[in-house]
Amino acid sequence: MKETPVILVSGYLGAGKTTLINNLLREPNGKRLAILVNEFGELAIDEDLIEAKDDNLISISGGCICCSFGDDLSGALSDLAKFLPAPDYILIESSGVALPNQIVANVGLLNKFFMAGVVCIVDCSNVLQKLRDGYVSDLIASQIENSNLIILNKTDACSAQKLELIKEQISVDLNANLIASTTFSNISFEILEELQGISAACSDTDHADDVFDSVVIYPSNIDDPVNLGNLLLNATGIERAKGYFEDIANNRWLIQISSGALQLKQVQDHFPIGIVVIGLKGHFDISTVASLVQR
Amino acid sequence: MQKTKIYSAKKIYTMNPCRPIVSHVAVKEGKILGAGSLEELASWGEFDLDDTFNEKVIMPGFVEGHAHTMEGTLWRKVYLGWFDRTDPSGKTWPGLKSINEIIERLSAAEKELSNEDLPLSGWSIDPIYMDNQRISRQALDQVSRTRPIGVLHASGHILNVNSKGLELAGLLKKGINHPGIPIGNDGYPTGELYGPDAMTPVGKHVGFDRSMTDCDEQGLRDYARLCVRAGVTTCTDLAARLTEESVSMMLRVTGEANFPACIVPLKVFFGMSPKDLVEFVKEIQTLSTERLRLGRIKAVLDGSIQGFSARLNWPGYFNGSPNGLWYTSPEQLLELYSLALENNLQIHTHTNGDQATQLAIETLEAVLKVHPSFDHRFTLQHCQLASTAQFRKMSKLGMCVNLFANHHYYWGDEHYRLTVGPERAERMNACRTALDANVNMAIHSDAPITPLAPLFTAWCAVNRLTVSERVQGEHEKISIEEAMFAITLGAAYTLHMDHEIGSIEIGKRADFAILEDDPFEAKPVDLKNIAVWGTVQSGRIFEADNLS
Repeated sequence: MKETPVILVSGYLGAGKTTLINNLLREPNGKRLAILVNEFGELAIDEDLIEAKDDNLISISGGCICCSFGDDLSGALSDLAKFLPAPDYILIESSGVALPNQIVANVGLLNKFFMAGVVCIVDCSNVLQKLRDGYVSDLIASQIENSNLIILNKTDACSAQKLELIKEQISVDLNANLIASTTFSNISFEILEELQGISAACSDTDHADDVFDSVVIYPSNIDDPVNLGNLLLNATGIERAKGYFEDIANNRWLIQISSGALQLKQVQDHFPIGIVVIGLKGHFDISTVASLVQR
Repeated sequence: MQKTKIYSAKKIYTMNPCRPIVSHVAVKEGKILGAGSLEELASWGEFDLDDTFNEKVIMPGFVEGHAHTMEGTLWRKVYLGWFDRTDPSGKTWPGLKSINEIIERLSAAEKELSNEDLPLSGWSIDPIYMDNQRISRQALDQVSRTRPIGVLHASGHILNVNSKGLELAGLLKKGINHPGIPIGNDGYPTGELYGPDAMTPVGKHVGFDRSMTDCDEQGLRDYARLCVRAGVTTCTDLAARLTEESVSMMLRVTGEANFPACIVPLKVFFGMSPKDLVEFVKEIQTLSTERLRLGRIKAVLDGSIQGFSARLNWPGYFNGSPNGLWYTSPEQLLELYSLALENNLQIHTHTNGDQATQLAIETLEAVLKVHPSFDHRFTLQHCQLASTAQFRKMSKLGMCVNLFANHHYYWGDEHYRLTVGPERAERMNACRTALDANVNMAIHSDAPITPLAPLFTAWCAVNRLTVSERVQGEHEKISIEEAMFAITLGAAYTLHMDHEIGSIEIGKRADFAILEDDPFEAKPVDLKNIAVWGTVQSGRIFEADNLS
């Protein structure tokens, strides 16, 4: 039987997890998402999107559902396993004090699911302070270290200089190297979907970081989309890429590279810009790929 | 109108400093009409003299400030502990001293089960008393290969299952990678499951399901019988999930005419936003009755010391384990404390490690500046590692503490040797320091983790002996008088109920513990051996050996 991919959305309290969930529910990119949240609390789903609602489950038009799991995530996942048709993805919004590796281990016990990746949302307005806090510094560091993708959120709330400091601390001290920056948790589902590529491509190992390097680039003002696509396709060591960029005439493009094939198409919606590029460690030339954006 | 009844006794310890020892107590309409001499009480008018307790010692009914009614439900499973323990019917189950004995008792119980599919469940094993020998799934397979079997450890944090149990959960396979599931030499799980994450998926197949932290209907009745045997007339249920269904079940059962105790359940802060929780608790508070007191909240800050999940201050764990887990974040605690004080709700907070205790203290201090509250009585539960400075601070802030005296006896040796080392092991559950710092203090059993028996809990705090019969923390001992206060008024105060229970004085509820001997005259080491005849609760007599 096909296993359902699970994406864990981790991060400390107030980082922007719920905002991300709200954004994804608004634009699920045609996917049927099942979202598990600790409690409905701040979750703001437009009333006109809600088809049915009870204490623990909200059905949303388009086939998405949202469940609260309270203190029993394994139980909620087991219940979800009976749900037909199975959702395309399950997203778990963990509690602010949860350790991602614990949840990953727990999901690993359940048949019918596989862990597609862990996203950690970092609140740039206070992360440096929290990383020095006597009570929670070890918890925040553990959340960052045990994630596949770091989303630096609320970047508008800190200076460019501070943002560099944050990036440095996260990539050097905490050894996390796949980082995207945004405000208002504005990350498209396409980028999260790419996580599945990371995990699937390295299912033999526990640590995606051991095999792959990755980078997120934010190309805009691109005069020749096809040329950018080809440059990426031919970049040394590249395995996969997926995301959006903007050309010089402010058109949005979807780009996908997988199994040596390039797919490029113009899209109407204004998905957030950002391309996740993944390549084999030791072969992948991150600096060349990063320089594509500067051109 | 009900006629006044006057009980005579060998001695009545009132815990009321105005008249500490009397010979008679008068009861009317479930309340105490007076405590004094027969002559004094007779002046109230017509009465019946009852000499049932002529040869007994009467104390205020004991108040257990931290226990869980789930023990009542657990007794329908097989008791497998190291220590002798008495069940709700009064039968004492001898402690089991080897894995063979455990297998034998399980096998005997297995033969009693009619339906082939029914799981067989046992509880309260503790390998630390058996040189840490582990119980493998193969050992449990000797009992049955076809019936799922699960055995819960005394700590409640570890579950052992047989092969069938693993199979039903889909875990009888190779390649499992989970920190809570050790793998044997054959590549398959050993059957030992650590922590709720590993226990939950298997638990439901072996008789320990999701809601096992709450008692069921029969469990609640059985639990109340344990209260009578222990002299307890008011008992908390300290981390109930309290759904609308369980509240109505508890209201119904405690409302039965012969239900012998007052139960005080605290709704646990888990899986609900602070705002929703406060609204819910305010709502159910209005449903409170004389025997079911609703409207309090329990927060859990960290884990356990022996599970290395408690949050410790520097220098951390003695054996170098990494610091433990937060179950509630500092921000959530702040929000919860604020909302609770704003809405006049009381919170009991589980802290084990001293870092968790520090967070609770600092958070409350900050919130009190915004919401001054002169009699909040926020209580730290367990609070096992608190330092002298922390007790002084708690005293200043008006906080109460409920220390886990029993834990010191059962696991003190482990803490000394392994978890926190000698110095902090000696200050664990520092009753002397708490009282000297003027912190209102209760002491508790955390039943079912250890048996419900306030006189035993008092013995632990007075003698500070560990299982190995070593005195651990000579300077933290308290007197018998102080221990008796802790299990009556001390605990009542932490529940804001000291005006109605905890002492034998005019106007209070007629709740008595009826004892065969005098604890105040006993040698400290004999305190735990004092037999309990039964209780009087709201003026109703309950004899332990004669319960319906």
